[in-house]
Amino acid sequence: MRINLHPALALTWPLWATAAVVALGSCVNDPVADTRLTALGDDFPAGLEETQYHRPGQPCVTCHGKRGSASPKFSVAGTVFWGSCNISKTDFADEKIRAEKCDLTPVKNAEVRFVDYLGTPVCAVTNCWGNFTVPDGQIGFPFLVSVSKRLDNGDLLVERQMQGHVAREGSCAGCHDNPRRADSPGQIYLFPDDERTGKVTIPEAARTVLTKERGEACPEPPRAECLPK
Amino acid sequence: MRARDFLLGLGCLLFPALALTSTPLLGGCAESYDPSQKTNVLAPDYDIYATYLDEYINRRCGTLDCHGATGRAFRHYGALGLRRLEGKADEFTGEKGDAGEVRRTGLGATTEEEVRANYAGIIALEPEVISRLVALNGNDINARALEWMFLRKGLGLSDTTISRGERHKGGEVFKETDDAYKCIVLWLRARTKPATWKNGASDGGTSGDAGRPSRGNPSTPEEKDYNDYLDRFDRECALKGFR
Repeated sequence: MRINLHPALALTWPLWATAAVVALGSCVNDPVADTRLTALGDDFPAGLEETQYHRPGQPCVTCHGKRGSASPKFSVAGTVFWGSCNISKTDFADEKIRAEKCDLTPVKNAEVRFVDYLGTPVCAVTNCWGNFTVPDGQIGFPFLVSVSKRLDNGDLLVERQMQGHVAREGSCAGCHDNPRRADSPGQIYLFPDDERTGKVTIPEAARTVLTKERGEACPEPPRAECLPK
Repeated sequence: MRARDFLLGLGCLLFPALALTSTPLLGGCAESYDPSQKTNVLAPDYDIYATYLDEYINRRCGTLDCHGATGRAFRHYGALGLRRLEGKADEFTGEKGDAGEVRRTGLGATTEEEVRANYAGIIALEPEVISRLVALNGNDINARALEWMFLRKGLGLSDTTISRGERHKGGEVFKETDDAYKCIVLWLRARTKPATWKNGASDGGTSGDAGRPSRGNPSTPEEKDYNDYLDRFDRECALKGFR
C-alpha cells in the first residue's frame, strides 16, 4: 500500500517519531522511581521474595505506591525492629561492632497505631519479619503514629510515639533509614541505643519476649487485629 | 514536489537547529555578573520570628518528608526534622558544617544557628516581595500578604483558596482563618523598633522571658505602639498547641 505523505512530514517524520517515543517512554519509564528501585538491590530473604515478609527495613511504597509497579498498593508500610542500628557501612562489616551496636531483629505482632488529620484511627500489626502495611485509601495524610509491643497476657511492654507527624511519605523507611544522622532518625525501633556509647540496650523483660519469638515459626501471618488499647 | 513544500520541510529541520545554536550566542551578549552588586532586603523582625514562628513552621513545614529535606529550595531545619551540620564532618555522610558539633534529628533542641538559617531561608524565598510588604508598615497588609509565595503555597488549592493559593505538593498546610496564618501576617506587619527602646533590665526596661523579645517601659506613643504590637503576638500566636 502506498502512503502519500505531505512533503514537509516526509522530511521530518524521524523527529516526530523520536518525540513520540520520548513522550510515551516518560509515562511508562520513570527514571527517578527506577533508580530508587535499583538502589534497593535484590529481594530478600531467600524463599520469601515478593511476599509480605520481604525487604524488611526498605521503603515499601517505592514499589507499592502509585508510581510503583507492585501490588497490592499501600498508603503506609514499614518495619519495626527491637533495637537501633546506628553504625556506618564500614562498621557494619565488623562483626564485633555489629553485634554490639546494631540490632536488625524484627518485632513480631507489634502494633502500629495511626490517627490521621480527620481523627480516623487505624491500627496495623507487624508480621514475623516486622513488616506492617496499611492498604491504599485507608488513611489520610498527615497523621500521627505510635508503635507498641504487648506481652502475651496483653500487658504493655513498651510504647513509643513519633514526636512529629508524617506529612506525605508513605514508606516509613523513606525517612527512617540507617544510620541515624542529620536527616534520618534511623530505623524504627522499640528500644533506643545508649547515646554516649551507641550500644544497643534491650531490657531483660523484652529480651525474654525476643528470644521466645525467635524460636517461633516464621513465615507465619501476624495477629489479625490490634488488641484494645 | 513543489519549491514551496521543499522550503517548508527544510524550515522544519533548520528551525530547531537555529534555536539550539543561537541560544549560547545570545547568552553571550548578556551583561556579565557584577560580584560587588548587592541588594538590600527589608526584612521583618528576627527576634519575633525566633520566638513565635520558627517552631510552628518547623512542625507544619519542616518534617523530613517535606521541607526538612536537603533537596528543597525552601529548606527548614529543626530538632524534629533536618539538622544543620554545624561542625566536624558527619562521620556517616562526610558532609561538613560551619562550627560546633554534628546534630542528629530527634536529639537535642533546635539551635540558634538553625533558627537563623531558617529565618534567612524564608526571607530569601522572595526577598523583593518581603521588602515590599515590610515597607508597607502594616498598611493594607491583609490584602497584600498573598503576594508572598510562602503564604500562597501554604494555602494550597482547596475549595476556598483555589483562586488565591498555589499548587503545593504538601497541599493545604494552613487556612487564612488559622491563628498561625494571622500570626505570620502580623509578623509582616512590621513595626520599626523605636530608637529609644529599652531592651533589658540593664537599660532600665523590663527584661523579657528567656527567648522572648524584650519589653521596655513604654514612655512615648511610639514605644507604646511597639509594646502593643508585641502584646498582639502573645495573644494571637499561641503556637505551642500546633502539631
